[in-house]
Amino acid sequence: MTSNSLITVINDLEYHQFDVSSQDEFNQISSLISEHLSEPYSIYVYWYFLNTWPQYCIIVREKDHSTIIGVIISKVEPHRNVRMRGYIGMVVIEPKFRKLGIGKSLVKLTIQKMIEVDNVDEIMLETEVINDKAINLYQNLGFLKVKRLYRYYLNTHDAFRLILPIEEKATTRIAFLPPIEQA
Amino acid sequence: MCNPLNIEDIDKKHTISEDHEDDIIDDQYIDITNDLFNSLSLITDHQVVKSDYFNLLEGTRAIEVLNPRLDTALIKLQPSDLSFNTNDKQSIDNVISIQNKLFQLLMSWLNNSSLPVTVLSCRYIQTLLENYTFTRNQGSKNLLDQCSFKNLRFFETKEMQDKNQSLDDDVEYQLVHKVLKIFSIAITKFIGICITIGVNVLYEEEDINTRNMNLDFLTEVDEEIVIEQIDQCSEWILTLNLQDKSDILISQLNLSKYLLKIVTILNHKVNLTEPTEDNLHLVEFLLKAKQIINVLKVQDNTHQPPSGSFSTFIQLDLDNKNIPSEIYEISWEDSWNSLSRLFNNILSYFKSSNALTNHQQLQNFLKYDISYNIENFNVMARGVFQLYIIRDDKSMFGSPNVNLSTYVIEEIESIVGGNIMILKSLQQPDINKSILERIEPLLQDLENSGYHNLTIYAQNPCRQQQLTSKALLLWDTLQVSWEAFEFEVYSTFKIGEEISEGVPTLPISTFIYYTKLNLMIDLAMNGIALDIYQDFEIYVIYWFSTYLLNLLIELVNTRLTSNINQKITYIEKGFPKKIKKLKAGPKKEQLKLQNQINNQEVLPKLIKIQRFNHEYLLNGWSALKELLESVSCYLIVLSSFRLIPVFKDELIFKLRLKPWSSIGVPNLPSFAEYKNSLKFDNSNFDNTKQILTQVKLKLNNTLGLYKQLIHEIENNESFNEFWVNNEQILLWYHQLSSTVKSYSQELDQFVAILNDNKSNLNSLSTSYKVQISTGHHRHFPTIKVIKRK
Repeated sequence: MTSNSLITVINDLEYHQFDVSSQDEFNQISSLISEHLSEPYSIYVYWYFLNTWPQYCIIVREKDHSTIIGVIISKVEPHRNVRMRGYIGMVVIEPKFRKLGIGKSLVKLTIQKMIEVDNVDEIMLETEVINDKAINLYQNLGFLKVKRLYRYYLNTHDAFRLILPIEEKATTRIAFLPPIEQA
Repeated sequence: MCNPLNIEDIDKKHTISEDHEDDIIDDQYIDITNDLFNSLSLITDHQVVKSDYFNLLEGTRAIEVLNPRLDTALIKLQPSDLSFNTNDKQSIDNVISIQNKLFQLLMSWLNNSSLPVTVLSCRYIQTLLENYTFTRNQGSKNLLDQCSFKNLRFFETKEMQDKNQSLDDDVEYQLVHKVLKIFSIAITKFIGICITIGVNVLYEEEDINTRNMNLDFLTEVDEEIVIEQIDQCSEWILTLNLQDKSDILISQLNLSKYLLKIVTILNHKVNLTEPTEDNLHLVEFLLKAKQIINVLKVQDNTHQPPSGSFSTFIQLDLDNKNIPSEIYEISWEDSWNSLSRLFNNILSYFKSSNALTNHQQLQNFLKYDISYNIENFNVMARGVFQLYIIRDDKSMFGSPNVNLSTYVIEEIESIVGGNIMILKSLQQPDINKSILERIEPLLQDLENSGYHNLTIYAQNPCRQQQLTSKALLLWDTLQVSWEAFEFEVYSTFKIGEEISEGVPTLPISTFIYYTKLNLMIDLAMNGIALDIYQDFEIYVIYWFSTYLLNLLIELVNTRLTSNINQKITYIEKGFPKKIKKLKAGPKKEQLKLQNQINNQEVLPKLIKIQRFNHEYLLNGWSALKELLESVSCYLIVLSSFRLIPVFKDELIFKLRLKPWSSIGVPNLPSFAEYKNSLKFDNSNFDNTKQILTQVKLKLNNTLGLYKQLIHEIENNESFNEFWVNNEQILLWYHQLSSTVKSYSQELDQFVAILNDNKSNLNSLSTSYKVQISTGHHRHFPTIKVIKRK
């Protein structure tokens, strides 16, 4: 853990940017996700996100502790070459640290960064239709349910796709937007 | 940030060169140690080495070696799983329980699971398919020989072979190698059929998982041969003295046979223009299947299949792209209900489709019996329906009279009336070449869009929504191109009907606009059924839908009605006058013949359209409009007391209306118009109360309209020409009727709350809140004001 990785401190909890050179952080993050998310992910998925977009992986630790208690993993890419789209892939908080607003802080920090660094037009994510807590969290931050995906998860649950519009482009159908290069 | 390294680049640099002869250890193996380490040296830190074709989606499904959650090689098997031999004889109870379990796992697979954790967990099915794959090209053409249960991985001594041969007369041995074998073949063949249907008309992983572990599910085997073998096997069972258990075995075999017969309905031709003659005998098997299921579902199911006959064995034994999973099994009751639903769904649409005689009936059937009822359909019934409605030869329901092209024309005529001049001009020998050249691709676009709409009805509810959204783009583009074309043809060649002197009716564009408005409303309202909208969005959806519905009502009431009336007047008066003016001769005779056709065929259809529109459609829409306006008003009052939030951000408002944003006509309402629509001054209590009283009166009026409509649907015999089965339509309107009653009560409760808090209305939202929950109708949730805890 390097001090320059510190993003902010909220309620005595430190929010750090993931250190791509730290094997320990990588292992802790993958264990935390593997333990608490219902979908099993291969090591490739972690490598894919963490190596390509380390700046969009934020971890949370208690002060003076090395154990990671929360993580958010995201990415930013052009969507169909017409919009810059941020995507929140995974948010996991150690159960005993839930209901403290950590998830909300992680999402807010990520949104802020996506806007500042990559000028995203929109931010997108998926969540299970039965996960009311997550849906409420995102809706309170301005996300809107735009699509329901039939039996999206391995457990056969449907998913909602939610989008936070940042720019006007987010409100125009793809077919009516110019390619990013020419915009 | 680092870029993924392409694995092919490494491969190119470090392929095992031909001159590395020293690396060859023997004929079979090559030492690649050096090559491997040389390759690894190319990988620097933080690089993801992957093929260009390996994307995130692939990655999320990748199998990770040595990860117990992802590596199927780490599955722990029981000794009985390893030693289970499908060649061994089994008791009749074991055979019955295996076959029951296979039915259960088949329906579990069709409940969105995968084959390795359901049907393929059965060692009999695995062995059969492995042997079939191995032997089908090796000489024997006999299906039963190809699908042997002999497990080739178990070494058989001469002694064992002799012993097995001596078992040929052993009933328990034959129960496995005759009965269970042909039953397994039938189930396997049915899975093969389902996979083919799934790949063609359903959505992978959403509706069905077709990954087959590289096994051929008897694709080349004719189901008729399997059915023949089943019948022979049933006869053999009857020769045995198995008491009541023979009935169960034969029932199971027959049920498997009936599964195979399902696809025979795809050969059946529906007339569509007149009731298809009594064809119920063709689907008698569907009724029999339901009867068998009723018997099988109440049998004693305490006897379990032999240990090892079902296991996770196949997951680590064969090529497997799935992650390790326990066997997935829906409950005994659910599986029989699901199987029963499959046969029932098919029987239901077979019967209804055979009674269809006109387009109004077809549209109501597709909308109410299929689309709005789709959640009650088994996935395979949905898939078969898609193939049943549009056949390989592009005919509709196999009808000799209606194919996709004529269906679209009939659909147009069912809305705007027949005798459309621009379409009739196509049959004229002297048609202008430039019209012909341009109209053909336009008609093709129309047919493609009509086809797209037909693919929506039987999809899962979420897909229906996505396909409807896509349809908006198609129909909006169509409207632009057809409007320009129809107008030009009218201006240049004077081809086309007129509303008045010099004003064309543009019938095809009118039909397109009509279709588009309906799709726009469907998309908005169906989002409620999918729980897409938050509480504060419900108002905007009702407000927007009311706007669209008003346009639709106006279109039917004015343009369409006057257009059809004109056609009727022309046939009744104008055309006979035209004939009268002509001198006797061949042209007069030709027109007389046309007059006869007009009176016998075109006129009754036009009158039917007017009746359908005015006696049914407009009444239903008027009631819906009243309901939407009432609820919208109720929501405006609630929002004025801050009991329900509203859109504050224009960007969010625009995102919600994005699916409709590209539509040229009608205009999308603006955020300012939305905000304006919400304006309501609640400072005067009496005024607020008066408004709510008016809403209540409007709801009462709506209830009256629905009661009248229900009465007509139930009692007006002439309405029967609008649908073949009124069950779902009645349910639809009864639910709407209950919705109105419920809103009326919720409104009363709200007025009572206002009365109780008259002196403190400004802070009403601190003590009360709105609770929105599932209502009586898919498009209308209950909206209750309740006390905060």
